[in-house]
Formats: sequence, structure tokens, C-alpha cells
Amino acid sequence: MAGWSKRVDGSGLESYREPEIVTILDKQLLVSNEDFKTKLLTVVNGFLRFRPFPPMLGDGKTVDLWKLYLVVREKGGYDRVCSSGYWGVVAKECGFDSTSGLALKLVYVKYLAALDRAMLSLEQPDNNEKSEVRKSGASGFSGVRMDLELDLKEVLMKISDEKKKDKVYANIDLSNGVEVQDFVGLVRCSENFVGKQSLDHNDCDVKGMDERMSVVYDEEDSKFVKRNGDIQRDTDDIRLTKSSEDEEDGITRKRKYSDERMSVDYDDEQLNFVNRNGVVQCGGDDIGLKKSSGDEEDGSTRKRKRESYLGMLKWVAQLAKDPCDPAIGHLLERSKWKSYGNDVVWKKVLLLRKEMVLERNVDTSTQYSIWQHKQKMHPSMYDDNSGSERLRCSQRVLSAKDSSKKTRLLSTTSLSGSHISETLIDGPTDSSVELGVWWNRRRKKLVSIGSEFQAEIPEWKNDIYESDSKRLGTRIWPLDKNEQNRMLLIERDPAGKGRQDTCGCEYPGSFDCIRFHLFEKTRKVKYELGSAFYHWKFDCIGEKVALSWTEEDQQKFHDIVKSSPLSEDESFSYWPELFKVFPHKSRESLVSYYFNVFLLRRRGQQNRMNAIDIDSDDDDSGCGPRFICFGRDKFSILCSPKKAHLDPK
Amino acid sequence: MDSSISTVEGGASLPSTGTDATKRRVSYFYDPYIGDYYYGLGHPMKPHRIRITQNLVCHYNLHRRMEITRPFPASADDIRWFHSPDYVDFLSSVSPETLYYQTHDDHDLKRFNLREDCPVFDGLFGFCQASAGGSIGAAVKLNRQDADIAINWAGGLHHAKRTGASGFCYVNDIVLGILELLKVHKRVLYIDIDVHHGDGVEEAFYTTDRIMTVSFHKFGDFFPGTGHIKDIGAGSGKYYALNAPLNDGIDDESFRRLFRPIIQKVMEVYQPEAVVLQCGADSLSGDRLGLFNLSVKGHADCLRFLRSFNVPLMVLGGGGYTIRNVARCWAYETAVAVGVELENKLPYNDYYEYFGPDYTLHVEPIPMENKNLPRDLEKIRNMLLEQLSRLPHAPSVPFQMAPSITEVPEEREEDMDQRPKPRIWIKEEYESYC
Repeated sequence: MAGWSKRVDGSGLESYREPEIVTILDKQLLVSNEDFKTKLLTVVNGFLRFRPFPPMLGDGKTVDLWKLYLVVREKGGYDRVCSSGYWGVVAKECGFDSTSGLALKLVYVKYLAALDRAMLSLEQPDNNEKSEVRKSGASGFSGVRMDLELDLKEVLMKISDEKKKDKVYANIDLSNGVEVQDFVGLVRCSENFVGKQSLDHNDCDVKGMDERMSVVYDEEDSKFVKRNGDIQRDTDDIRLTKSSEDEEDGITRKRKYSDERMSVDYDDEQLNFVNRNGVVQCGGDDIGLKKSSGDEEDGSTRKRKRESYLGMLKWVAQLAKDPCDPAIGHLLERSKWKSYGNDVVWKKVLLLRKEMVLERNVDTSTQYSIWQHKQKMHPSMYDDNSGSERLRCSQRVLSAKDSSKKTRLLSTTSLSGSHISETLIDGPTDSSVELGVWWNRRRKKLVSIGSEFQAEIPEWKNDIYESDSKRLGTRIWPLDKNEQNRMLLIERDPAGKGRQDTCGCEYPGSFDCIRFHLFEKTRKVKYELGSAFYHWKFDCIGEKVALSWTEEDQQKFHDIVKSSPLSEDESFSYWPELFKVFPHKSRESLVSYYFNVFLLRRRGQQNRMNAIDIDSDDDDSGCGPRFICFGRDKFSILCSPKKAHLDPK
Repeated sequence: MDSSISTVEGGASLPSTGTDATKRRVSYFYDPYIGDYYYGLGHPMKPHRIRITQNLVCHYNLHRRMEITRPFPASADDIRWFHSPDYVDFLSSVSPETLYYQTHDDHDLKRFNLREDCPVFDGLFGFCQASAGGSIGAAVKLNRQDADIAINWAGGLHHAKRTGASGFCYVNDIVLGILELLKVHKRVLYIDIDVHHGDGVEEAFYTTDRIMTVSFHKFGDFFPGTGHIKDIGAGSGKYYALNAPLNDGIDDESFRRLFRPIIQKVMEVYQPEAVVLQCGADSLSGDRLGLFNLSVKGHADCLRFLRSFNVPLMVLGGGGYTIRNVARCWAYETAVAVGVELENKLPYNDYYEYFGPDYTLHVEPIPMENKNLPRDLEKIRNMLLEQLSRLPHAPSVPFQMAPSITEVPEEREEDMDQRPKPRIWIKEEYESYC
């Protein structure tokens, strides 16, 4: 199991290794053998998931897998049939032409060999470890436990039933049906998984048409979201239309899924169990099946009620919170597995999974790079219409704040290590780079959806636009015609003109100099603006505001403000004091004086002091500057030491 | 339109020429009392900056090139177009006095987030009315085709949510302005170059394709926390939200290399009938809250670029907390809008001392590290371009496959060709203004 690795995205929550997860699973599985079987079947079914379904021979006949399985078994197993050349016989017994033997063999290898191996690995003594890895599969079934086999039968039967259903809607029907049922038993569970897997096939088929899609299905809200397909619906009935053509595509298409993600999410808690390319998420109330098939970039999430795992999942969730919890224990190195018998559940699961991984690696490795290039944008996924949450499977931890959702916990790990978080990022090639990149980190805040957040968009009408002329406001400039004529007489500076380089003042840049030029300039502007000058209150801005203040009041104002310590603490604010001292002055008047006179004068002094420690913008509180302000290290032409102490007045 | 597009293609890499040089009819909104609103001691948001801007604009004689209007105060009903009725009611009735006498529920204050960042200050609703009135008025101007560019520096309060205040913003004048624009324009593009993510606007239009929102913002441990590159919209608005997450210290060149190609493609693909540009000046170098390193020219380059498309353009303010630089920036951008180049030496004006000790229009960017690696920016750009490539190309295909209730069946592309000729300022008319 080389290649297990920690996630490197810095998220402690998700940085534990898969074996630990498996351990968790195993411990839970020990609790209930039923559960284990369910799991096992699920995983076994995982093999079938990425095969076209139902299996067909070249002539279009479908193969009954259960029957095939039984016949081969009766003949002594796959190896025996091969060595004895019995495939023709098998074909006949399965109701095919004897010439179909080799085709059936192929079907067997593709669909059932993994199952054989799984069975075998459960039965065979551990000292023959290699046999578990062996691709050729099982040599016998003598010891296969009957109950397990029966379950398998259920699964396979279900599969064969499945194909008889309406091809367009079969899968959806099934899933709907399953949903309604209160499935308790493990057989049902198996069916469920089979159904989901079939659904996945459909997804894949759609993908084959170069369409991106994923399905999020929330039982309670009956909301069906087709991701990346530009359709999002809130409906009570689920409409997933797929042409039967798609299905046939699926049947004939080559196996090309390079990456599979299967997840079972529970609403309460989740466990992500990454199986090399696949993820199994386990949670509490809901089970969803999510599959994102690399090459096709699809995914589907289905949720199911399931109460029985609640206890287990709470435990798992705990682990997810703290993977280093000593209570979880350690998974042993593979070399030490031998010392454990096959009755140890974690080992069974590991061995089984290894089989699956090996198989997938064989024919998917070449596809992977294509997928890497193709997958650019991960489709976002909307969970339900609670309106305030957008979920992505690795993000649920962060969205736990939403009260409409129960706490979600998550654990993710990767078997191979190199494809850590397909859900998060664009593609594995980018993962190493982008995962840690600041701009592509997991979102902490999501955009809220719902009528209480979005604006109502007015209808666009092709009518003549009419608007209340009052909404246009009052035009201040240009002046009306009568007033304009007056302006023709003045000499005007061109638009955009700045100040003159030099002036004839005795002390260029002094307060007096500036006051003089400003006066001159203001007169020009005032003359040009006419009434607009007063409309814009240009007569009460800047130093002019001081004209309405007595010297005494000004002094008082300055004293109060200067005596107050500049502090971020609002309680030190000098405003209450100002209001008290100037009861006859309005708030506007005080604020106006503050900005127009007080700050301006203070800035004027600062400008002439060349003091490095004064922030030219510390208009009020002690909120310090973020940076050293520019221009301070340079001595302005306007500043000279002899003027630094010039009094503004 | 064809000709302007082709011009613009050159504009993406070259100094804009052609239609860009033509005059635009500019309408400018200014409320003379805006500067007297005061958020409180120590609060970085200072409406006073708008008054400084106005003063600078007039002392640069830019008023000659535009129409300047005092906006009507938006009524509570106007504001209810977007905001929830209970929030508007609360906003219009609350004041420091009512808080003092506790006639208002603390619960409501909390619910509407009128705390800390968004204090209840004296004249709060009047400020909101002036800000929103300006943006709505600007939209009306564009709708009536009375102007090519409408400017409201008191607007651009992009954080305000439907049911509450956020990040110094109480009423989302942008959303209100866009809603007005949508009465006439089928598709509106919103661009946000504030250092903060334009979350309020994005959220308001997250599920519609009639507005595309594009935001360039600092991302990662920064207010408001939204604006992930993969927030792309939902429902029929999927792919109609673009987010360019940036890191500290982005400079003019990096910003331009990201902004221009993306906007270029947006304009080509989306073909908006009107554009709203939020010019938050906190993306300028040396801002008290922002962390970018844009110069005034770099900031204004966005406006310059958009102007070259000759699409009705609404220019709004936004953030900006080093007020002297805000005034510099917005005065310069006003000049860009009217097509005048400003001299660097500031004219004498009533707030002259604010601009010391250099008293110049442009200031040297501070030396600071640009944490945006070219590699990252390229990736971001490519991701966004890729997202854009998924848009149906307007208007050759119907814009919305399944029209929703609010959706209008799109007309064929005739409108693009029959768009009124670029509204060129007739010389006589212009002269008569002077």
C-alpha cells in the first residue's frame, strides 16, 4: 500500500491516513457482521460500477451475471473452467451459443473475477498473501460463506432485474423507490447501492457526450440539481431525462473511467473513505453516493436515510475531528498483517480494497493524464434550498456553522497519495501547486441563495423608458443660459491645468503664499461657477468655515481636540465634550469645522515640519498608518526649516 | 459596434485610440451636504473625501466638460426595491438619539448589523438617500440616453445586503442603480476594483444572467471573506459571477495584465448594454485599509479601458480610506471620463494642505512586495477566461435556455447593430457648455 500520504493542505482535519479510516471502519464492522457484509458487498459492487451495464455480448445479448457465476462455480471455478476449456459449455448452460464461450469468459473476468478474489481473500489462509493479489483470481469457492453468497445473489439478481426496466427511467425509478422504502436489511442496502451504481452509469453515459453533470439529490427537499449543466431546479419530482441512446453508449463504450469517487454521506456525520480513486463517505442519517469520474467529470450525490449507523458514525466523526486520538489506535504495517487472521475485519477490507485498486490501476493509469488536462473547473454543488449553504464535499467542515444543517464532519484521505483532493481543485496535476495556493484555498464563506438575499430583477420591456423626472435630480451645472453669457468675459484656465511652477511670493509655499493663491483661484472659480458655487457650498468649505467661528470658539475647539488622547477607544472621544462646550453649534457645523479647518490646519503644520513620525492622514483616531506614508522622506520644495515654525495664523 | 470592438481589441494591449478619443457626455452627481456626514471618531469611512474630490474637480476646471447634478434623495420606497421592508423601516427611523433613548431594539441593531463597522450616526438615512439617489439618478441618465458616462462618487457601497448593513455600507446603491438600468438594458456588467470583494452586489445578482458581476479583490483573511475564484454564480446565473482573488501588493502592471484580458473577453462574450464600474479607491497604494499597490494611473486605467468600449457606463465610488489619495484618484478618473489629462501639480484648492507635502496629483507607489506571483495571476486569468468560454456567446444564441419568471425573452441580435451611434459630444454643444 505504498503511496499513502498525508494531505498537505495544512488542514489538520483532513490530514490523516487512510489506514486509520479503515481501522475505524473495521472496528465498527466488528460491531455488526451485518454491516460488514453490507460494506463488503458495496465495495464489491464498486467493481461493477464502472462497467457498462448490463453486460452484453457482441451480438447484443445480455448476460445474466448470477447465472454465469453459478455455472462457473459449478464447473469448479474460473481457473478450472479455463484450464478445462469449459467456456463453451458454460455458454450453453447460460443459454448462449457455445461459440460465445470466450465472450462469456471476458464478461466473467470483467465483472466477476474481482468478486472471486474478494471471496477468496476472505477464505484463504493468510499465509498465502500473494494469492490475494493475483489477478487471475480465485481458484475455488469451497469455503465461501453461504450467507455472503446469498447476499451476492441478491445483488446480482437485482442487477439483472434492473436491465429489464425502462432504460430511460429505470435508475431513477429505482432510486426513488428505494427512497420511499424504509430499508432495514442489508439486502435492501445492496440493492440501493446497485441502483446508485446504475445511476452512475447513466451519469457516465451523459459524460460520454461531453457534457458535464452531476446530481445532487436531497431526499427531504426533493431538490434536484444538475450541476454544470446550467440547470438547477427545485421541484418535487425528480426529472432526470436520459436518452436511451446514452444508455447504449454506455453499454458499448470502452471502460475509460480513470478515477472514481464513491461517497456515502450521512447527514449527521461523515466519513470520507478514499479508496485510491474512490471515496466512500459514511455518515449518519443520509447516505449519498457521490461519484466523480475523472475522465467524465461527473458526480452524483444521493442521500438516503439510514439510522443504524448513527452510533458508529458518531464514533467515526470523533475520529475525523482528531485523527491522532489514541483511542483510534494504529494500523499495522502491511508486513505485520500476517500475524492477524482473516477474521480481523480491517484486514479483510484492506485486502479487498487492494484488489480493487490493483485492477483499476491496470487499465486506468493511461487515462489519468487526459483527465488531468481536461478537468479545469470543479463544478460547484448546491446542497439544498436552505438557501445559505453551498456544499462541496471537502468543505462541509467549514459550513457546519449553518444551523439548518447538522454538524458535518469529514474525513478524507487518499490511498495513492498523489490525487489528494479532486473535489477541491482542478486536477491532480495542479493539486500539488494549487492546493496550497492562497487564492484557491477552501472557501470560508459562501454566497447565500434565496429570495431574502437576491434582488428581484425587473422585467425588461421594450417600451419607451419613462422615468419620474424628479429622479434625475437637480441640474446645477451647466448654468442656465442667462447666467452663462456672463462668463464669456473672464480669462479661464484650461481644463486640467495645475498650479504654476513658480510664484512671486516672498516665501513660496508659506501659509500666506498659499492663502494668497487660493484666494485668487477661488475668485476665478467663483466667478465661473456663478450660482453653482453656492449650490455646492463652496462658500463654506476649507478655511472659509473658520470665518463663521469666533477666535475664542476656535481656540476652544482646538484645545479640546488636542487635549484628548488619540485613542481607538471610543470613550475617549472628544465629540461629547465638543457638543457640551458648543451647545449652540449643530453637529454639522462642528464636523464641518473639524474637517475643513482643524484638520486642514494641522495638516498644514505637519507639511511644514518634515516630521517623519506624523502620519499625514491621521485625521482622527490613533489608528496608525499601515505603511510609512509616501513623500515624507523627500523634502518638498515648499518646505524649508525656517518656515517650519511659522504660525498658521 | 463592429468598429468599436475592433478598436478595443487593439486597446487591450495598446493605448486606446479611435473611439476612445471621442468625447463622452458625462453626468456627475454631487450632493453638497455629503461631506458633512460623519461616521464617528476613528471611523475610516469619511464622506468628506467626496467633497474634497468635488473641490479638486472644479479647481481643475473639469466641471466645464460635464453636467453636474444634485441627486434627488432616494425615497424609502426606492430603497425597498432591493432592501427588505423591515430593514428600510429601521434604517429610516433609527438615529443616535433613538438609540440613546432605547426606542429601538438591540435585537434589531444586531439583526441588521448596525454595529461596530456600521454605526448608527447622525443623518444616517440622509446619507443613504443621497448615495442611493445619485446612483439611481445616474442610471436614469443612462437609461434616457442623456449621458454616456454617469459618475456618482458617493455611491459604490457594495457590501450592503438585502437585509442588513455590512462593511460601512447601509444601502446598496449599486444594486438599486443596476435595477434601474435593467429596465432598459438587457444585460448589465458590474465590475468592482475595490480592494474588498463586491459581495453585496454579487449576492444580489448571483442567480441571474442579466447581470454579470466581476470583482477583483484581495482574498484570504480579508473582509468580507467571499469572492473565491470558484464562486461563479448559481442557477441561471451560473458562470455570471467572476471573482479574481488577489494578494497583497499587486501593482499596476500585474493588475492591468489581469484586468484587461478578462474584461476584454467579458465584453466580447457577454456584450453588456451597460456597464457599472465600482472604483473603490482602497485598492490604491498606501490605503489605510487596503493592501494593494496601485497608483492612481493604474487604478484609472480600468476606467480608461472600459470607456474605450463606448458602452453606457456608470462610475461609482466605494472604499478608499486615505482620503487625500481617494480625492486624487477620483478627480483623475473624472478627468479620464471627460477625456482631459490633468497636470501633476495640483491647482490651489480649498483642501490644498491635505495634499502636502508634495501637493501633486500622482504619488510614488510605496516600495512593497507584490505577493502575486506571475504564475498565480496567469492561472487565475486562465481559470476566469475558461469560465467565460462557457458562456453562451451573446447574443447569437438565446441567452437563457429556460426563461424564468423574471426573465425576458431575449431579442435577436438586432439591437447590437442598431445600437445608437456612439454618442459623440457635438462640438457646438460642448462649447456652449463652456
